[in-house]
Amino acid sequence: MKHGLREWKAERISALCLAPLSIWGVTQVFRMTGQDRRTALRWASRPWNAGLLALLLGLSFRHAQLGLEVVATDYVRGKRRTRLRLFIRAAVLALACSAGISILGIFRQVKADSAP
Amino acid sequence: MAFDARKALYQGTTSGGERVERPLSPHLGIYRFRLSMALSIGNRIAGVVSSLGLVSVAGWLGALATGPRAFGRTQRVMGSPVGRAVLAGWCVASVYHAIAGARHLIWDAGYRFDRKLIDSDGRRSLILTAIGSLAVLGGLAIRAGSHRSRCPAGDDGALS
Repeated sequence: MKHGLREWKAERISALCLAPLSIWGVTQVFRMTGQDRRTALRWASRPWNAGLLALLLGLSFRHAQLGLEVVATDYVRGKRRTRLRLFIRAAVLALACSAGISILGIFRQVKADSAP
Repeated sequence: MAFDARKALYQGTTSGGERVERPLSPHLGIYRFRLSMALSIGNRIAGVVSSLGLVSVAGWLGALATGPRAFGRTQRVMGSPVGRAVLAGWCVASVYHAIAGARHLIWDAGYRFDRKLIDSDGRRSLILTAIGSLAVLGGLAIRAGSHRSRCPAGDDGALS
């Protein structure tokens, strides 16, 4: 496989998957607008919602990382490029981990609340 | 084109001693403006802006998982005029990036790549971005407004 082909494909496959997921995401934002925290917690703890949200965010973060690295590669040279790309990866990974922990945290929190 | 200072560095002589101007490779200033070039760099910028918006999504989820006080604070920040403006900008950028991304996938598949289509689709993509953004932002504003009138004391961290 040629160098970079994997990233090129991953960017497009993630884009294709993000199209329907984003439409779902927008409908959920519409549903949740104007709702209080408990409703939002209940929404986020439904398995389907949590799963689709994790998928939407995971693909968004991967797509963002690939795209930002392309921009960095095109406009920055040498050592600064390497450093910037590492920073992008670290930042996206940290955000993805934070989002994942939040989703799991909400899930467990609500489950514990509703347990008899 | 206007005077280009770099031309001073492109003076040379032929083997016969005649002074000539060396060829200058094309650079940004030499191209006539076309819509497609603005849309192309616009798509990159929109992609970067969309990525930055993910920070607010992760922040909102983190606040929801943390507790009522953190959630209320996040809601106030996002509901403030500055917060709303930032979220609206993120929305427009994401809508445009999605439309321009769809065009890229169509080009990758080998369609709609001749010049006339690129120009007309480019104009259409701008109109679609405006319609899509207005639909989403207008819809959200109406929903948030109708909620506020239902529970005016909504200080329980209502999503605004």
